[in-house]
Amino acid sequence: MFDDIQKLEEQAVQAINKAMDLDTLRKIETEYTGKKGSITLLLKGLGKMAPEERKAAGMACNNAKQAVLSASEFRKNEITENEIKKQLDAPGFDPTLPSIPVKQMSGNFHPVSTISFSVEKVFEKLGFKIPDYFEVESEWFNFEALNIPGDHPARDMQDTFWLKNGSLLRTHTSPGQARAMKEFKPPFRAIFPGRVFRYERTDASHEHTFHQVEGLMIDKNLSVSNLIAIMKLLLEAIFEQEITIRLRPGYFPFVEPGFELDIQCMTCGGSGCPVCKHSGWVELLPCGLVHPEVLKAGGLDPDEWTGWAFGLGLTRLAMMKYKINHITHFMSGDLRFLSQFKAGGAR
Amino acid sequence: MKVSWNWISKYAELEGIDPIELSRQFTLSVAEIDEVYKTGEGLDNCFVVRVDRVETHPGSNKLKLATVSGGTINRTVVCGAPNVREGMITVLADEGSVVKSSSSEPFVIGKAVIRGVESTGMLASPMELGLGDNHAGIIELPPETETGKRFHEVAPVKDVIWEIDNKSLTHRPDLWGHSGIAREVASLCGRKYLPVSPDIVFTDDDPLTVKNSATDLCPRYTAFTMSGISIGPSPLWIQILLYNTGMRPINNVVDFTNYSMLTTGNPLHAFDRRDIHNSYIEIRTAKEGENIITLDQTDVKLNTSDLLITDSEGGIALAGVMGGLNSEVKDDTADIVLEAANFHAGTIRKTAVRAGIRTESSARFEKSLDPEMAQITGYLFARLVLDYIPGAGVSSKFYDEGNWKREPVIISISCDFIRNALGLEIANEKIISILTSLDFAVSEDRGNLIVRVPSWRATKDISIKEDLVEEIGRIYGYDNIPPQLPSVLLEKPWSLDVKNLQKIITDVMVLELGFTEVMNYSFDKLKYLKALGIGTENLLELANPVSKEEPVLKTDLIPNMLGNILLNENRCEQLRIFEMGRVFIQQQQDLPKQPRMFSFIIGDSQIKNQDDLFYNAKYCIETVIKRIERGNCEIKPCTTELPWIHPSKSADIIVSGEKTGYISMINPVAQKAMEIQMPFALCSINLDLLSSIQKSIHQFEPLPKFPAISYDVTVIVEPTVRAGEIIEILKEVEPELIHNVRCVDYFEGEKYAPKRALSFRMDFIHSSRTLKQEEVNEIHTQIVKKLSISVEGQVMT
Ligand SMILES: [Zn+2]
Repeated sequence: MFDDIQKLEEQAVQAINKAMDLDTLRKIETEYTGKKGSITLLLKGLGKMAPEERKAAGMACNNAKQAVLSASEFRKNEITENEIKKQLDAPGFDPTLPSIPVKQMSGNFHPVSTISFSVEKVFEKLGFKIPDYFEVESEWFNFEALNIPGDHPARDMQDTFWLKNGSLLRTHTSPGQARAMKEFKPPFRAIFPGRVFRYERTDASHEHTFHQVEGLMIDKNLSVSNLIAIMKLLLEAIFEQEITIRLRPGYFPFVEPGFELDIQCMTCGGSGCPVCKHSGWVELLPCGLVHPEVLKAGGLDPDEWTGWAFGLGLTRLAMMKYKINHITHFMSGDLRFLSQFKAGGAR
Repeated sequence: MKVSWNWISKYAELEGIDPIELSRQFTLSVAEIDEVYKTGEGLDNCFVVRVDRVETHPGSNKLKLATVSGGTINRTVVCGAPNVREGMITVLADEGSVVKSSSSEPFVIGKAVIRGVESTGMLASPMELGLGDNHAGIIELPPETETGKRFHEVAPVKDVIWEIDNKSLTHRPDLWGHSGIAREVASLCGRKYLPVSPDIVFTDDDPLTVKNSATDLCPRYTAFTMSGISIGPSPLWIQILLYNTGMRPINNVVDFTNYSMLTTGNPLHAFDRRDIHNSYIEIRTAKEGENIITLDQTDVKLNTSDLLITDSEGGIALAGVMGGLNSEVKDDTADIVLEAANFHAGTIRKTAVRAGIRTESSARFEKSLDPEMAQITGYLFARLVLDYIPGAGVSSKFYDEGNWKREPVIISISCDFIRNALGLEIANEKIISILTSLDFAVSEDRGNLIVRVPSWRATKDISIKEDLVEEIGRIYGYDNIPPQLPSVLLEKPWSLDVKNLQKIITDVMVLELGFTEVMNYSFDKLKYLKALGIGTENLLELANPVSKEEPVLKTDLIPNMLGNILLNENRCEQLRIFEMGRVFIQQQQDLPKQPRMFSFIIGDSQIKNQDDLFYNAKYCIETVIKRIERGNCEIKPCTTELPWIHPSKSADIIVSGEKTGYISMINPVAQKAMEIQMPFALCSINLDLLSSIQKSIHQFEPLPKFPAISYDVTVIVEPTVRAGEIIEILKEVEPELIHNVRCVDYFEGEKYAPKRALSFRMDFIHSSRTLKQEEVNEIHTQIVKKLSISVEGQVMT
């Protein structure tokens, strides 16, 4: 009896060690330890034995079964590793063979890109430059250069992602203002779109990473009247319809005077609805005339130069335009969301 | 902040102005009003009545029958209130009144039969009249209140409340009280402003010692004592105004401090005079290890930058934030010390944030209040006590300690500057009248203005010319400025090369190659890094990561894109995604390097031969490189080592001789570790490198004058011989004659094993004549020979 068990185990382990692929291995495993496997059958046959003998034989059977299974597990790992090794070592693989054209498929622009491209197109036609600035910024460009001093609440830990080395993830596209003033000789006009970061919890309308576009124009004698005209022109180009806007005082350290720009609610046309919280207006963007301290930080003489600036939330604009109700879709990588946006084109 | 129109109307002549209409203009010119609502609606039929008689209800021992009178009213109503008694003055809500129920649903009063007794109207509790949550009994009015009047004629219950967005007031310390709002409203409406100007006579009966040892953090500390006070309820009208602006009426002293604060914006604090040891008050910074227990019973551990109000024993108030429990006004308080101070904004904010105690007081001091307001507010409080607490009096002199007097802020500005900045033709007179209406002192000399800024606007709000431009613009109305596009000089066009590349590539990927653009976070997930065997030592670490799982900035787009596959692979057979964006590489000094990368992934769960995906990816990148005119694209042995790069099924992408990226089958080890099922290939390009490559415009090739002869050759070689090698060999056989050599097919299988067969196609073209058959044969012979020598190739016939 015990010899039989011993023999079966040896046979099984031998077969297992010879197996070259997982399929064979699985078959061998079943052959010995499956429902009708030979070790299992042996175990079932113990019923006729005397009790003490049966106990000892049962133990031996179980030990043998365990031995077979662990040998099989070990071999399984060996085979997988060998397979990967074989895959890794492919001397015959020739990258210079002819490429294979991809089958026709429908691609999709990211909705934030589409919105950004449409804003860029409008401003390009008006002769605006479109530079691209750093996402990891220095405290100086993100705050000091924007007239946000050290004890300002905006600089609290709670709004900003700080790096351990003291730099930060830009909290807005505005650090580009001083960078643009240093890069281009005035007069100039530029917009700079890009991703920005806020240290906050995410929910339906809050996201720690989103996109903005900053607009900046530096010239002599720029006025609030110019700013209103440009903003109206931009928004009508984006929404492809007549837009009514209004400015109201808004406080931002880097503009003076500073404004909140509202647009008349496009859902209700101004008569009031849940979208506009029954006010008829939707707050869209902050803007204003560039603060003299910011001009100075950019190396310009505020007695000679004037400017206006705005910061437009591209993510928010996309949500408004496509009626997207949850901001976290944008960075989700979920193709069920991303493949809904077929229109557009970068150029 | 809630603002009451009745309250504003005490400080400006506003008869006939519609507060609802005006709220729109206020939003456009001053600060955003979130909500406007009326109070006291439905109370028109509420009358002041006297309870003449109280009898028991025949059908209930809890209910009573109250006979009330006032004017034409004389009737008996059923009343369940425990406090109803003969002689009290209260309010009858008559038929048609709309009162609040305890579920705050409106409830219309009518006729009712209560336990067999008919009753019309009811005696109302403060809650039912919309005046708080007190529903324990009916409202009790002062005994001198005239009966028969409508309730809203004797109490300011009918009001319009503006709920102003606090954020839009952060830079306006002068607007945190009703008198400041009234000044703006008066200016907007062209009406007269009525400043707060109480007059108080002080004595010297109860001397204090007031020592200001921190004049930089406490520019002004004023205090005085009052005696003979009896604590009780404040007048109904004050309770109503407080309640309608979001404050709970407590008792007269507390209500008066709140009322004074909500009038001028300057918080006050009253101490119980008994608890000020040795009549000594000192303002100083806290000592190391010192603490104070505030009114809300919080034990606040202080540090040396916190400002503390102390007596001879220790802290009695956490300056500007909250009073101390040890000196609070109690029910039996008869004498008080009233503090009216001005504190440094940043200090109060830091202390409040750190202690986690944000109060109406700290919210106001954080805005940089005008030190002038301290005195006015203290006086206002004293006036209320003298007027409404019989027997109370001022018992000390007015202590005023600090260093707060500043030179007034004077701004020189020309009217032309204002006109230019606004882009608006506005007359000098109009400019001056706007400034004057806001209490700026203006002197004019031929369009040049010397403007003195009032103290309440000078603390941080207004200091430069541009600030005055805003004053003119907002009061004049931005809607009244005609939009005018700026005129500019033409200039040379400029565009950022890498940006142009990004746009072309995006279009090619989406429109031509069928990819979907993804955007991933700029952080790496530890889970992915671990699976890929990437350590975090050289990564840029966040001091305050969004989660412990994403503590570092990404150095590559690929890991998060692998996450995209995981998310989507079960929902699609074919997956084509690309991303463009910055990654972050640590540098010794300065900001990190932030190269712009472009990566794509092409996967197919149904593909028969997985390696085909590599050649699909190769097709895509070749297509992209063709479209951007940066010269030729070569595929060279891979020199890049990354966990996801396959050691043998990968290649570098060389554009015009420069290595700009790589293309690879997924490394099976990485794939297994990431638990991705779908087979895929990936490609990554450094866009900054790519854009640094000189643009190379394809030059026209003259069309052949003589017919080209298409020639195919198939050669059997060892599997290690690369098709690319053979192409180079073929080109060199007759460089003048052989053109367009390309590999068109390859065959593996038993027939050739272990070797394989590669097919090439090329054109033979002679520039000046048609090639003869013998010449073609001759080239063929050369090709056979050359392939045999160089790669031991055997040409199939
Ligand atoms: Zn609406």
